[in-house]
Amino acid sequence: MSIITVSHLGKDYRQIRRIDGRFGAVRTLFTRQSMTRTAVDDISFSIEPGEAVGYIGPNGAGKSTTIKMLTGILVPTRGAVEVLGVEPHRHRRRNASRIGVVFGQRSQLWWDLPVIESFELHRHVYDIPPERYRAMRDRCTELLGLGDLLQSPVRQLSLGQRMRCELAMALLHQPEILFLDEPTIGLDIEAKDRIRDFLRTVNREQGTTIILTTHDLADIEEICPRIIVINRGGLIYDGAIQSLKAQLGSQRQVTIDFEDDPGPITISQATLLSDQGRRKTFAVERSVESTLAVLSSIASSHPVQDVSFAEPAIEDVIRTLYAGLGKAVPESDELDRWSRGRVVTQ
Amino acid sequence: MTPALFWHHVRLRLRERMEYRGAFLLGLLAQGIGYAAEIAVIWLLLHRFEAIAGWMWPEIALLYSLSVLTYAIGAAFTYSPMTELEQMVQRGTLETVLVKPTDPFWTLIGQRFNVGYLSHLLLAGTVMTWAIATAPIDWTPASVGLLVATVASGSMIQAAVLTLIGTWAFRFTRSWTLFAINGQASRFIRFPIGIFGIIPQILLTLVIPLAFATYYPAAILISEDGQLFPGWIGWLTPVVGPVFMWVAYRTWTRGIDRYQGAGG
Amino acid sequence: MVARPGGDAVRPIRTFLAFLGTSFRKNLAYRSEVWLSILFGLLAIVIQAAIWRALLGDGAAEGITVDDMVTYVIITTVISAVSLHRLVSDVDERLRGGDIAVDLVKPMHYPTLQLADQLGRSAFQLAFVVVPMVVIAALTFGIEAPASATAGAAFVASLAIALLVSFTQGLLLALLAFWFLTTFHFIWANGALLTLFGGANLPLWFFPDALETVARLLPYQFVAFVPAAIWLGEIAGSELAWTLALGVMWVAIQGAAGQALWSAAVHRLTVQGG
Ligand SMILES: Nc1ncnc2c1ncn2[C@@H]1O[C@H](COP(=O)(O)OP(=O)(O)O)[C@@H](O)[C@H]1O
Ligand SMILES: [Mg+2]
Repeated sequence: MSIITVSHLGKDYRQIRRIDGRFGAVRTLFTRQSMTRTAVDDISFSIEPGEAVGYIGPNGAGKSTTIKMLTGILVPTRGAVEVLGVEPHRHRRRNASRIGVVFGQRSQLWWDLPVIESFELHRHVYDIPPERYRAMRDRCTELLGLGDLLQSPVRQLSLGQRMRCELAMALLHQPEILFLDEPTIGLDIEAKDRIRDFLRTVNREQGTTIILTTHDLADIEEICPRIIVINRGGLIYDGAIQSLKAQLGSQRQVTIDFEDDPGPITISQATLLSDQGRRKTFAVERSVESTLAVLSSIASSHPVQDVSFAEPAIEDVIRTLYAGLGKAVPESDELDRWSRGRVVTQ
Repeated sequence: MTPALFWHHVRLRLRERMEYRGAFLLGLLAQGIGYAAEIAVIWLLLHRFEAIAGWMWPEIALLYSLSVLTYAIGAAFTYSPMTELEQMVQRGTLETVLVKPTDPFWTLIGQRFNVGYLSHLLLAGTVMTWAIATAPIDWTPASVGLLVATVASGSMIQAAVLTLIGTWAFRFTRSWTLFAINGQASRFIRFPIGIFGIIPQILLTLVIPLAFATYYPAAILISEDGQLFPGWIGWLTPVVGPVFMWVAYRTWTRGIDRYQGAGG
Repeated sequence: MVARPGGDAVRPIRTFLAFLGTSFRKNLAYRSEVWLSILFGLLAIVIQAAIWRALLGDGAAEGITVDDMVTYVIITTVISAVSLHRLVSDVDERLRGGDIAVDLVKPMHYPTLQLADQLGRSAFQLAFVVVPMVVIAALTFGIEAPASATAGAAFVASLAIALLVSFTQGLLLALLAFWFLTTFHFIWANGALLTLFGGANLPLWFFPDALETVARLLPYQFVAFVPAAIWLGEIAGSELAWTLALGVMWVAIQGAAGQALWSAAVHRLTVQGG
């Protein structure tokens, strides 16, 4: 039985337009022109209990909108959503007690009070039995290394510390599904690592289903075996990271260090990617045969000192995915952000 | 949401304010001075003219103190959540309320309960105590009951008005001008309503029933009249508040539904 | 560099006017809410007019009739719509956001820029709020013409004083905020004094004598009572001259205090690093 089923889901945002020009002010009062913008369009997928799924796409792709429909915050315009057997927006409160939600940029903690106060309130809001609450609190504290942080006012915490606390709080009532919308945004490497380790543990050991949106593909690689990629509101890939790599990352990079600069080399089965004289990098087919063929044909004519191989990085795979979409390629500034996000992780 | 859970929210809110104790106390003092100045002006007015439409200073003081007292109680509940709603919609913080398994209305009110109305309460309470001791009121069980009901029901009316204005934020922005207008409107109910034209009287009775928070019950207590509507409607005060509050709550919930449908 | 004729003298004025214009256009963005502001002002007039009708009826007190009081109320409402107190709330926002440091080290005289900004807002209010409001109020309740040509001219002068008194007061409060990191308390305290001594709700001539003497010395009367009383011809002759002189003096005192606080704030920021 799927824990989440989404079929032909669509969401249009309605916006009220102000009327400019003469008497615009008065006309705005009496007439209402609205504009529709489709944020999510005809998306279908289903998720099994215990899965960890990365939900990715460039800015404005519709990730947050989808998460909001799955958590019952927004009502879908078209299609159907079922989470834990119910429609989330119709049974928003019942749904809420069985899911956990973390927004990367919005705090659910009480700003001026020690973290523990927010936890205690959470216990009452979700009506958690005391022993279970204590057990879960202590476990999260240990796994996330919260320790003394629980006694500090939230305003004194760094962003990384605060996110760890937000995460712990979202799990106190032992939700069956954890939704995370960009949980690692703006965090340093150490905080990201801690959060990734924690999510992996929660997913593997407790079997909590995780849906995660992010711009940091390292999050995905470490936590989510499966990814769903959307762009401009539409689904463009749903499946295992490995098979995406196999499909799109069908080439591997071969870097060869020569004893002397061999000058330009042209081989039919390989494309030259970079040429630094003695060191040249080629892209070749991923199969063993073609790799060996390329290597032996080069080695036969020029003395080779060293050879190294590189598998395609997930970023490159995603990039290729977008590039293959033709007109659906994200705008340049989105690509920029996309790659900037990558630089930070390395 | 159970009362205990609501109280838990309020306690946290109080503790938060106490983190900035000095500023909080000074704030109370400053607001106290502000309201004292207002009272002083009305006192000066009646000192010079003795009565407005037959209402003497203790009677006007009763109207004034009822208006401030009911506002303070009502606003403690709904002022902050409703004035901040516009910003919460813009910043998306409203969503953190919507993923909780509790009623969003009561969650918001609990989270943002405003304890800053203490000086209003003290001041209005003092003035009211003096006013009901001095004004010619015939104390019977009925009049005592009416007074108590007026404070409770009037507070609901005030809270409801703020809630309705806050609901506006779901559809239009910049609701603060409306909050300012509400401030003006509540000056109407500090004077005998009969001195205003027919339109303000109808509006304050049938549309935004603020007059039930002060004038109508007070008119019964001190046996005065001179207004458009019959004096007995003051006895409706105990029901007007709960009904109006219910209407406001439903409207607000409809606003939330609309927000969820349109996406804000 | 070749100096253009009058260049250096005119430049600051041009900058000032440019800022004023920008502020006016910035306010245009809010024009769809204008009707609410008009309503706000009209409600104030309706309430006050009704109170005075109830108090005075067809008679008069100290020679003041209902029609006088209606005119009085319209004028004080107009002045509160265009007064320049707002500065303090704007500064409050910038203080919270930490932007204030940027303002203080700008190579321009910040208070003067703020004056331009506030005047731009007032010009907007005048065009979009005050004019429709006064027209509606005059048609509904009637409004009296200035008592005399002198009264009319003196009213214009008193209006300028009202703007400057409110501006320098707002500036003082804003600068206090720079030290105390809050404006809330000062706004309320100052508001209380304005409520009591400004005369918008109760003209000073209805005050008990002792209190009237005090109020007639304070700056608050200039933001409500004085312009309205001058319009009605209730302040005339040598009293008029004295009153206007007192107003100018208050502008000077508050302005000087503002300038001193401003210099101290800049000094504190640049020398001690905030
Ligand atoms: N409240 C809203 N009103 C109107 N449009 C919106 C609103 N929220 C998001 N959008 C638009 O919907 C699209 C998808 O947004 P979102 O789901 O936030 O994308 P993502 O989270 O993938 O960056 C974007 O084009 C965005 O501009
Ligand atoms: Mg998003």
